[in-house]
Amino acid sequence: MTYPLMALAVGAIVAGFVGIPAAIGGNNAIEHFLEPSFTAERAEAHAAAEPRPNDTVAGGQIERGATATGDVRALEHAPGAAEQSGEHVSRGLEIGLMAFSLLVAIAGIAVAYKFYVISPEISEELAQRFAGAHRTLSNKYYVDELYNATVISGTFAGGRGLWTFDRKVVDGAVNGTSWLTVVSSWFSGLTDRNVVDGVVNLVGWIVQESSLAFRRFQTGLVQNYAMLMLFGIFAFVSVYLLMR
Amino acid sequence: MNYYLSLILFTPLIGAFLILLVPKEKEDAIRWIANVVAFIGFVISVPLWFWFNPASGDFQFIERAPWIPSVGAEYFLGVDGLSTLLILLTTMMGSIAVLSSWTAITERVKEYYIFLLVLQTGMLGAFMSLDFLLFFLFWEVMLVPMYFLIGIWGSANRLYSAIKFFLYTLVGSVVMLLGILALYFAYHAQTGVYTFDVTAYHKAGFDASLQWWVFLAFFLGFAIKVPMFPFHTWLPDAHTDAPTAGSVILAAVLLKMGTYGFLRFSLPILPDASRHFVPMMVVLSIIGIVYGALVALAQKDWKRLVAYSSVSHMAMVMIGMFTLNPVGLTGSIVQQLNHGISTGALFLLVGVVYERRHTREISEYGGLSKVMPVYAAIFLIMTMSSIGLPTLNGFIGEFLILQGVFVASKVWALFAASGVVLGAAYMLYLYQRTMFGKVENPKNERLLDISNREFATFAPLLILAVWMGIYPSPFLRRLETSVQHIVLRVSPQYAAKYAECNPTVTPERLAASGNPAAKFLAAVPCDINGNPLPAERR
Repeated sequence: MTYPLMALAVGAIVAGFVGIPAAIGGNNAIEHFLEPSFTAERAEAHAAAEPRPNDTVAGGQIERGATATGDVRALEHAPGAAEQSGEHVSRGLEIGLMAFSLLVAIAGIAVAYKFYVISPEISEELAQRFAGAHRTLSNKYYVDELYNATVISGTFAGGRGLWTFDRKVVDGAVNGTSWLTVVSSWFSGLTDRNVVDGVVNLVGWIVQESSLAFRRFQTGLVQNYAMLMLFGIFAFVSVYLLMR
Repeated sequence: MNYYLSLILFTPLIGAFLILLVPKEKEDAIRWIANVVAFIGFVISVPLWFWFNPASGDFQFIERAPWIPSVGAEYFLGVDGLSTLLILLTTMMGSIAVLSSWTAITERVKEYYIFLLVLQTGMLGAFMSLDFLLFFLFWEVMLVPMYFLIGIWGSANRLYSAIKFFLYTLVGSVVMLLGILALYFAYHAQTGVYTFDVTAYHKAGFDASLQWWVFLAFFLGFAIKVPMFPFHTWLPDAHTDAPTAGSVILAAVLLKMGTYGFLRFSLPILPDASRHFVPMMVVLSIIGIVYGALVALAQKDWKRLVAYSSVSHMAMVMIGMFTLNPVGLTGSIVQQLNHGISTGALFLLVGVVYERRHTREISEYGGLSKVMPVYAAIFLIMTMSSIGLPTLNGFIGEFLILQGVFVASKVWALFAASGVVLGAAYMLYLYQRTMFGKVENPKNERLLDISNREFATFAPLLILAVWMGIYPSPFLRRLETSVQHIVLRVSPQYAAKYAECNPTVTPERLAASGNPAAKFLAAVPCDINGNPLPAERR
């Protein structure tokens, strides 16, 4: 981990030199490097002020940008008033701000040196005295905890809830359908055995039961049959004679 | 007359017959035959990519012969850009699935490979058929091998899952068959011809109430297969209990049957009903996107998590499709391919560790990036592809879908985008739990990194993921006319706009003619978005 930090430190020390501002005698190379992106915008504002004949309605943005860049170059060659006032009038202010930021940085380094190197006990004392503030800061204002408690646990709870819903309700409906099919097939089986087959067996049963009564006639004794025949003849003859 | 499609179609079946002749003790011979045949099946399908002419709007490589003349059914094959890409996906994933089974399957090896190859023919046939009865035949042919693959070679709860998969899909497809018959008789009433010719149905205009009913019938068949909320619960069970190759095929290809069905049949044959049902489809898709993602987040089983991510991703595909605009439809098809690639790879990845540890519990893993660095790298790439990281394929699909959805409705786009965020959440959470941290489980300390054979199953998917992510144009170009064909049928605004820049086609003539696309595609000065075509393609 030290080597990447070293590389970054070198960058931190050196990188500033590509942008030494004009206020302290540099030529601010980085600003000129970025110029095409920035001047275009400035130039567009400039071009918007005076409409040009070759501007078209549809492609206005692009064409204006393109022609305006040319304008700026012209402006740069002939020192224009607007450009000058924008950058150089506040030179004193610029140096003042630089000095101020330098001061803040040095003060920060000094305080850190005092707190963490010369007398580390101070920082612990402060942490104890302002325990609440220290805890809030150490926990990054509890933003992570806030997210965890709301969005993240909410999403997970929602996921678990829907998973239960999926198993119990949606899949429950599917399994319920299968259960219904099984139950109705069991019921059909019951019906088939008891009702449909029952009717078939009922016919057999009726035939069997009624035979109980009829088979008494089938005694096999010729005398009985002859007797019955005699009774029959007597009955028919009587009916014939009475009805005549 | 050429037999190119038949050759692609029946190569796996011939392989299955060859294996039938090998005694079942010679397991390695069976494995070699299956692998070689599946690879040949892929190689002979590759020229389709080059021979297919993306500029033509007609079906290509047509094969047509009478099959059951008494009912008007034909052996009628043909492909457009959509089916070309899906066929290539199928042959590639089939070959990968066969290769991935080498060490995973040790029992009933012969039967396993026969079922896998028969399944391959079934899927290819469904993508090639332009005869509705033939399509239905292949659609049902797919069911049987998959049922056995899950039921025999699956894990713990396999019988329950296999029966659930079979019955659920069958319910949908039987209702779909009723829809097919309704169209068949309605077409006869209109024209006096008995035919199952899908291209004829594409040109016909059925009346609204018939369309309404047939759409619902098709919806049941296709929505179960996609699967759309609330018909999705067969999928996590089937995926979780299927053997690795079964899950891969199921995710990469079988789910595409549903979306393919919507694109090939529902939208162009039933345009009025499709428009009518947009709100229902979109609401179900949005629920699917968010619901699937949230449930995935709650999973403790690695494979089940990927299965629920499929529910979410396929809902994304559906919402893209039902924007009914060219961008959304294109994105929807691209995302189908992406889902095949990335989810197929994710199931392969689960299979790799499952073979080593025989558990899918996420909590059993952790810190695998230390012991299996190559595996972790592939898993990371496929995770990113699934999330939709730019430079990988998932981004292109999701971007096009979101663009299409945004044009249709900004509110829908908001919901669809939330699915992308949740997708990142559950995938990264999975990756973190399995790959990062310390190796805490001693059983994970000596896990072997992936073998060369396993790497060979991932290599084509990695290449495709990067290719489609960086340069998707060859894929998009092959889809243009298919998408145009669907949009002209289903979306009157786009058809009118298209007619404006194609002076030979007036809106009135467009309304009068059944299928404007086929007639006028030969000389088209603008594309379906109303942008003038580049000179070399006029």
